[in-house]
Amino acid sequence: MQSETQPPSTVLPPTRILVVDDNAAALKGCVRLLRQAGYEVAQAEDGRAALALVRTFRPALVLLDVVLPDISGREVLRQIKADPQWAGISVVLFSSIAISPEAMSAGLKVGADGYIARPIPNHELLARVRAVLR
Amino acid sequence: MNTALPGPELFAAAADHGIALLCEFDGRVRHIVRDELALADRVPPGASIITLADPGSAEKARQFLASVQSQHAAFDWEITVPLHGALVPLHWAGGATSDGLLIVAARTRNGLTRLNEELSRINNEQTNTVRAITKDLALAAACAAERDDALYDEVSRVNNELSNLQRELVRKNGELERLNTQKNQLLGMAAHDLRNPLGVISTYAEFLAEEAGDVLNEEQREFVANIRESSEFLLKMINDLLDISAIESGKLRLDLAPVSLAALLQRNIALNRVLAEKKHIHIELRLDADLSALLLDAGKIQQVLNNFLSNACKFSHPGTTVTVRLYQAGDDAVISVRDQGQGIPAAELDRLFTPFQKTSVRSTAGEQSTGLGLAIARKIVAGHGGRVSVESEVGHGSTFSFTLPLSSHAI
Repeated sequence: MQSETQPPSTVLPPTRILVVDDNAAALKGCVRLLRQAGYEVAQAEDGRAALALVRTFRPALVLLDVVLPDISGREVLRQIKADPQWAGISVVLFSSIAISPEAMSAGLKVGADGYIARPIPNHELLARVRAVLR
Repeated sequence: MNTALPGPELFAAAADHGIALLCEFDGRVRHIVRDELALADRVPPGASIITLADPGSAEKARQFLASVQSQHAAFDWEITVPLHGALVPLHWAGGATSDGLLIVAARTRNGLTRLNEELSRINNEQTNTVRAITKDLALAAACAAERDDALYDEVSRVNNELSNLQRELVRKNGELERLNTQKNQLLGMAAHDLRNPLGVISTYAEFLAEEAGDVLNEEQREFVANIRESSEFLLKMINDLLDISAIESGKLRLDLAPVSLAALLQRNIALNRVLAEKKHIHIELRLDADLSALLLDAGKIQQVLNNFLSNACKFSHPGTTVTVRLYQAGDDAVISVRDQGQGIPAAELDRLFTPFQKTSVRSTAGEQSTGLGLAIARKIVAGHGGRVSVESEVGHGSTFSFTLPLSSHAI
């Protein structure tokens, strides 16, 4: 809901979020939702494009699908977390697979800042994003 | 020994050598018919044939004689005889005739048969009789040997069959394990591939519902609501399917921690009340036992509670009350959910907890069921060492209960 979203401060530039998802419709929906909430959003449909955008777009948060066509979301996560110059970037993994405690702890061990099981209602997704960025 | 050792030819010739004696009924020698083994000196007429045997085999020789006397025939007894300074086992046969016994012995069974055949050439009624008898016996022995062979063959065949079956079982087992793994992978992929478009459907349905509210008329808003409800149901179905398949493949993982049942019930009911109030159903909680914390998987027990409560609301009419009770019965904590709904026919009660077995009773507001909730609940409760049960009276309502053993006290 429009009233629930907190527009980022007018003084600072809007928070940047990179959304990585190989499902075009899901990607478009997520990007639209985040833009409406006032974020500056970039999008990528595979791992390589995602890593390139991490360099050029410098997002504060990456919403990363685990299943990607070229390199896995976990590998993208590992590369982001391995580079000290990207230390400030939060990464939240998206998964449509029912997440087992093992998979979750494996993901968190690699350094994910959160896990989102999809599908997730729009307002819940926004709440989770706000929580990670806080 | 001062005699020269016999050459190989002599040994070969001696291999089937034997002796044949005509005896009185008591075993005393009357006449030596043939003697290729040079044993005649040892058994002068009147001596018992038992004296031929080595003293160590005398008892067996007596038994042989007794057998010939009582059965009128004996064939192929092995009795040791001192021969040329060595102890040599000889094959013995014997038969009773009208006026005495004919005894033959040879180094080999073949020798025995040959001797027998040679004796038959002597035109003598007694030897003919003996020959006939011993031939029968030889036949019987051969038959027995054949039977043994047949039995051995049969046992080997059964044995082979068993090891083949064993191999087949191991192979089938491996195949089943492989198929089960494939099934789980398939389910995982199906879940992923179903959830993704489902997520897209709900995201866009939500956009529609929230942004086009004033553009759409009431009927169209209902269309959107239907889209959202159906995708929610589909998601629940996928989750239930994954749950039941994980549980049925033995992967019910319980994350046990000390939990206060009363607190868990209060929390859970607060959430369910919001949903129930929409249908004007009141949920009442009665805590009739003061229990210490139990070791439970709180999430899984909430899943059971949610299932019982949502069922109670589905089949209840507006304005009725659903009562949740916590009480103690013996060594168990019992949680019961009683509704004032339509009740379930007795014939359906047994199969309610079986996957995909739904009741014929219609929900009061058209709510759908996956048919898996109670089956999952039963497995979760069983995993905690408890039981699920149901009592129902058509027209009056149903009570679903589950027990948790108090022995799972947190330490």
